Amino acid sequence: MHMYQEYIEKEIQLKTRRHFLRNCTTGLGAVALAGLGCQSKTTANIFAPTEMGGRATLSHYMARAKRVIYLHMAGSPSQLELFDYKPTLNQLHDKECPQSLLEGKKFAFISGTPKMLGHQAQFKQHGQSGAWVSDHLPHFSKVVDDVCFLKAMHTDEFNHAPAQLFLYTGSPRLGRPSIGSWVTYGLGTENEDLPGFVVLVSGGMTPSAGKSVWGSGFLPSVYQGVQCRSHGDPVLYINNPDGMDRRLRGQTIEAINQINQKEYETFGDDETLTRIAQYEMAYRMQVSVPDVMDISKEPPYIHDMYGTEPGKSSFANNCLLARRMAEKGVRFIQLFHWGWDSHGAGKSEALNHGFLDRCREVDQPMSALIRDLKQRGLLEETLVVWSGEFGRTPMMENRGGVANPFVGRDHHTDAFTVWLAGGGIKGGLSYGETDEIGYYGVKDQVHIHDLQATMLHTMGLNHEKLTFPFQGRDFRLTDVAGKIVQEILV
Amino acid sequence: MDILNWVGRFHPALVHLPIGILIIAAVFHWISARRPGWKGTAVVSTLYFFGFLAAAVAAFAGWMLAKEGGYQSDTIFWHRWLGILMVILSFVLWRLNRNTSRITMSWLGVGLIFGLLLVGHLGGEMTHGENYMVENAPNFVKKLASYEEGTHYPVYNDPDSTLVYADIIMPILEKKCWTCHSNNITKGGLNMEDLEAFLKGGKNGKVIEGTATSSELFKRVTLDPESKKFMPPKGNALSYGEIKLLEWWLDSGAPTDKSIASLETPANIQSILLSRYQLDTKPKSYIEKTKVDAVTEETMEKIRQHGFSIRQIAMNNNFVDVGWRDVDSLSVNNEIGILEEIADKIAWLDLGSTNLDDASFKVIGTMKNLVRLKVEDNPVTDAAIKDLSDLKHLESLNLYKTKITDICAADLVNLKELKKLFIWQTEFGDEGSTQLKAALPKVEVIGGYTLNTPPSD
Repeated sequence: MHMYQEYIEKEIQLKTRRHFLRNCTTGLGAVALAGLGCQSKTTANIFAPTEMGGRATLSHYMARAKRVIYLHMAGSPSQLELFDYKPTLNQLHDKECPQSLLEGKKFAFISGTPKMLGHQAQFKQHGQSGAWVSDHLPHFSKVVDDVCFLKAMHTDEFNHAPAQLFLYTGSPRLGRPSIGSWVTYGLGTENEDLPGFVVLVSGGMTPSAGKSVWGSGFLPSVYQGVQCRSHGDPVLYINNPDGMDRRLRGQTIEAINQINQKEYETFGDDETLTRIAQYEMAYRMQVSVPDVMDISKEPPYIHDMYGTEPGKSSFANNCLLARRMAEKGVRFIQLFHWGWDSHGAGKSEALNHGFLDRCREVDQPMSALIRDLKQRGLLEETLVVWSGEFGRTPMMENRGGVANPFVGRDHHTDAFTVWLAGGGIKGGLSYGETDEIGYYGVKDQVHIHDLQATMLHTMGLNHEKLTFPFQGRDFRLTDVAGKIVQEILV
Repeated sequence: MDILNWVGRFHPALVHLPIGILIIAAVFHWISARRPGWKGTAVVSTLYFFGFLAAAVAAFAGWMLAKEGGYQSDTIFWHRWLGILMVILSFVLWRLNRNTSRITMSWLGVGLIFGLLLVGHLGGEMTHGENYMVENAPNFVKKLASYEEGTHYPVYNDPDSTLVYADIIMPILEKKCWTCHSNNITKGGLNMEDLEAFLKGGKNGKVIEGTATSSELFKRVTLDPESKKFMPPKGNALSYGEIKLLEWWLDSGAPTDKSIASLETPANIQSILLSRYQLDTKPKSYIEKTKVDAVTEETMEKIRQHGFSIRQIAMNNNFVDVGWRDVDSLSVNNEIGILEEIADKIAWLDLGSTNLDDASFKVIGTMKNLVRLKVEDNPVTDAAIKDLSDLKHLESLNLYKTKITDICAADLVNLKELKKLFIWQTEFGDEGSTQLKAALPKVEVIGGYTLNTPPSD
């Protein structure tokens, strides 16, 4: 049955004549508002706790991927130092940027006439597919035959927070559900003991857009991402306090839930159901989470492969955790690694300093992740996506018209590279092209909404049908846009 | 006669003259009726006379032009006789101007104006096509005329039910050719709207003959655009995609009742169909092509009680995806028998890390439509693989961390559709791989990786 119809039917079943009469006494205004769909209907009853775990809703069509691991490089790495090789740009190095490229453009920092900046990297072709990868990613260059590059990505937003929101929620403003929430809303979870949507953050900072990039927006709050810390307790207060054993904790939660159940029966607020579900989930997570988060059990060769050090907080540890969660059936695993905003205003954000550190931090673990998923047979049913929130300019940044102390590039919306691997994606493919200097996409451009539509498609979800009624209309991740990039699908 | 044909060609230029004069005459007529003694009254009769003269000349030229043919008989009939009626009406208005009652005269004048508008519109429709006046009109006018724009390509979902002619080719012809070659207008004697007439061709014979390059239809749309014979002579030429589709259709023998799925689609046509119509003509996988009855919710619930997870693959696909829920009190080896009931409906089976034993493979071996089987991390031996020989559609087999050896290669060669085999952390080595690849060259045997494994292995 269509999810919306199901929602409506369940809602009608719960409404009695008393509800109507009570609403009448509180005035016709409330009735009118209800008619406009303005009630705070944040939780749909269809996801009552008993149905939340094992039972998953149906895909629209056959899924190629059962889960997603999204590797987000917060701050946006330069595609021109990693994947998008443009020999012409090297020839133009240090020449003034022609006015025709600047007219009518808005940049975050560039002002006046900047100079062109050649590649701060050496490029070579790799693998049977001959993919161009720079020498900053020696490990990754060995897995390119499993990877599909989208070379002509473009977005609408040139500042971090709105661009991240746009990438994850389909809108640059706050309030919409993130893609992980949409996916778990559409498909449910495969593991009753773990959240369907887990977030792991490394690099010392959460992304600029904050927790909204894994928020559930107007979807029931059971679908928001659960952030697990890779250092210390994975989830705060997950251990029982001294003097309380698991049995006692279980009884406490049972008692609280009974009270909540009565509360729900009296008032019928759907958020109470979410609360009950969350208590139950938290109780199960007390066992499941420490287990899945403990990477010390992994054999030494796995640690060598990822470059992990148990107990530390790192992107490598998070990649290994991502694989462990994928094995356990977590639906959407979202990683953020902070520190890619290479403007060149300081050493830590210079293309020849901080940027290189970031490359070293991610190169081995992300490559290990692909290979480890592959050797376990998980890659064919797991979609791995790697991206920043936008790209970087072929020009050297000149903040306030003055050359920056270090080499860097400004934010750029018109062309950047994203790669995908695994479930339903053709490996060894480079899709899309940019012009001679990597400024604009000239062939097979892919917009953020197209990427979202394609990701949902690999999960068996139709981005035009995965909707949720809010404020009087059906919302969807891709709003009114989005075209599936069929050419990259198996 | 050539000279008369030539005279006929003056009709579109001449018709505007009587329309202009007669409208002025009618306006003057109206004013003088309302304001007795107005100076302009003197010229009303003269205006009607010149209007009549111009109308007669235009009508003559029109008659000659109609002889050339190529216009749809309905429209031309009304246009012709309404035109003649206008000539007569203007004559009557000139002759009777003074002696007839004012009221009769007024009605005749009004009739003349409406007649002129109608006849002019019909004529315009014949030269410019039916939608000429609506195409660029504001939206409310389009709505009134119930005109739909052809800018958005329709979305087709299923190559089986999409007809190559009716759904793909005909809309292209409708947009680019029907303006002049339809039931209404048949320039060059060619009607492309009526299928029978279209196949019959125009006055110079068939337009579809043999392949694309030997067909006049294709030649005309691919000529030098400067050429007089280039089609369409006005408006936008056919786009690259339209020309390629037309070529593909003609080369396929110009079928008029076949579905897309029944034709061969070369790679470039596949991508055009995909980008224009979202029509996916890529070959479908086995479980997308094969239909089975749905597993009832009752049966699913029963199977769940036995410790399995079960889920229909998609809304439009009844195959199921089965896994193990890891319920403490249950053992998969004791419960697996329950799956026999739905054996042929299982497409994906995931029993990794469940302590699955060899005996359970007797049941797995009956799942004839199995495409993906995951039994990794179990004490499974070569003996179990023997039971899988009937799985003719198995594409992916995960045996990582099992007790299999090279010996099972002898049984794996029976899995004709196998594409991926996972053998990391097993005793299955080069010998087995070589044996398997000799029989099934398509198989990718995926072993373990180290940090330094080179790119292609």
